[in-house]
Amino acid sequence: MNSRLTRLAGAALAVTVSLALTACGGDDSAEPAASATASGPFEYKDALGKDIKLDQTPTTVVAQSSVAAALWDAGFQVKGAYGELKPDAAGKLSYQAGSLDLSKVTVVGSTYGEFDTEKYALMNPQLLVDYTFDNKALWYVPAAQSEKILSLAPGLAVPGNYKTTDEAISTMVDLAGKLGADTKGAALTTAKTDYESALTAVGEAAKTSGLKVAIMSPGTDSLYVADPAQLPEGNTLKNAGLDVISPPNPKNEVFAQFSWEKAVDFKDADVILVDARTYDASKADLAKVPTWANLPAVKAGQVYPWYAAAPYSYQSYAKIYNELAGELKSAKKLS
Amino acid sequence: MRPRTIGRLGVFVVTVALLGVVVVLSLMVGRQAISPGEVIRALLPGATGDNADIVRGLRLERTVIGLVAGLALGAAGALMQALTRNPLADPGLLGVNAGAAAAVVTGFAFFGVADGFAQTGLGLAGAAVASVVVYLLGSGSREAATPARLALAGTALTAVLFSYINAVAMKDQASFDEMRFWVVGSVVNRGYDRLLIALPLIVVGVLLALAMTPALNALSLGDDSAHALGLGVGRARIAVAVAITLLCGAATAVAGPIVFVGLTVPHVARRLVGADQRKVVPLSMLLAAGFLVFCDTLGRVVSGGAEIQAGIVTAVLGAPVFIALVRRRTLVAA
Repeated sequence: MNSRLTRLAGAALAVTVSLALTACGGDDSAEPAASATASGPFEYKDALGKDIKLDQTPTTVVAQSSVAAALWDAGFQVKGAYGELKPDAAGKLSYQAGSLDLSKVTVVGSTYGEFDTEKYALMNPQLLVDYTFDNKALWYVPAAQSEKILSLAPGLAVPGNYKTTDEAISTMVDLAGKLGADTKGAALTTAKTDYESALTAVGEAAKTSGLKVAIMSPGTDSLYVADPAQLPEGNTLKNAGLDVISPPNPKNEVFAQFSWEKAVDFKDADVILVDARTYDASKADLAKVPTWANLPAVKAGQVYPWYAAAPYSYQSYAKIYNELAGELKSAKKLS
Repeated sequence: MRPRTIGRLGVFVVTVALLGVVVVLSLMVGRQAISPGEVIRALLPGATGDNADIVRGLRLERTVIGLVAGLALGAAGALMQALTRNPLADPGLLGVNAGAAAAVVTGFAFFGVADGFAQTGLGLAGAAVASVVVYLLGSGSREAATPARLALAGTALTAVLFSYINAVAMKDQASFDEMRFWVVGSVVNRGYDRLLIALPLIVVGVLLALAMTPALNALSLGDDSAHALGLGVGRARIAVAVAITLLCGAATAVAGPIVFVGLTVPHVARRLVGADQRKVVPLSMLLAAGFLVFCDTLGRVVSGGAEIQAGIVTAVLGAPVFIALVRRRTLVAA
């Protein structure tokens, strides 16, 4: 009796909140059109090999923040999201949330390991979308809660890793289209053109400068060097003509872990792209690591962010590649 | 009597010599092959370049930090075993390390405390609070805090605190790398500035530890006998507890939670020189310093590509040594 009362109260609260949110949302003509018109059926063969069949195209979709942001840019607005959604001190969301508009989205988890199952249940979700990196589990769905979460709505896994960012973005656009978004419209076509011209700009900057680039995630105890062949943006940038360094003896892993003594082997890098998720927090400590501080690229100040786990959308990668092209143009060849 | 004394002196001489060998190895061995001649050249003042960065920047720093942290942990372990008259006592076992780590993690995760000075302070405060909590839990009823009760209280508190640390570390993606250090200790790239902050505390802790060794000998006879010998039992206990807190809090603030050093090393020391704390405590310091530096050196070279943190190697090496000691049933009572 008591628990039912609580749940009713919760439901009432949720309705009120969502009404308030809708009211706040207002009319923003720049936003892609919401896709409530779609009917169905919905069919999708996901990355775990599961055939997802629904009679109606789901409208109440909840997704991990990077996935949600990618779908958002592709024209499909999720109703709920979880993932990296904690605003920083200035109230800004991480780049991993892309252009998600939190006034229109119910947040059911704002960092890794956080998922409010009750809040999720009250949304009456019809579909959950997340990456899978191990072909077994959904990335940001906490293992302990996954059974309960997946009993409320089917979980759709999109691959976490791709050969190129083109492939990653097409996968997201395709899913958004299946969910009812207009993926043939002018907005997305423009975004795709921007993306392609950003890549051309990277290619031109790379060709004129001949810069060697390394992608790293430096920690205080070890240096992690990304193997570009295992990273969608690594392959895309290489295809565009950028010289991205591979760590020696790659083992089919995204990151190779090295002792800091080995950092001197990466002196040929003119530019270092560092994991934007962790770099700011460790910058001061890294400055004290001599084999990091004395890397030519670090000394020359040619260390730029690598936006790991950015949403796979034309918009977000057009911005990332444009920024990179600008950095490559101003960077100098050091060796 | 005479040859035995020489034997004990010999133990110290051999230990110091071994310590020297371990330090030299730590400077010579690493992921980057550098010949002994180049290592010496890199150590000379004014040397620059890759070798100097590696030998002087990385290897020397981690050696110094390993020596100091090991020394503090060895002393703290010996003191703790003597104080609780419990051969299983260990700063890790009695919740002191976990308390220090939990306090630093809390400060970092919730209040953004990343400054070395503040972190050391937090480490000390956490260590002190954990010692008091364990002591209160261990002496919760009418009975005094027996060694067994203290160990149980400490183990329980350690388990609770480490679940907390893990939970916090998992929660915050941006600081996960920084947090991981508070789950497994390491001596890599900790920075001399951090060491300098902790050093005065460790010096005071070591001096206090050495000064209290005669009192510990008296305490080992039991509280009544110690009292009969004219020792202020309560005051002596507090002084030793302060030394333990200083040593563990400071060592943990510098190198993170490192296990099995404080537990295992005093047993080895007692096997070598008997139960006299005036010898056990300083020998434990030397042995623990060497052991931690050796574990760190080993961690650099055993695995394929990456290094293994010293905190993992000490557990891997320390645990079997400890089990062997226990199984031989010749555990020398503290």
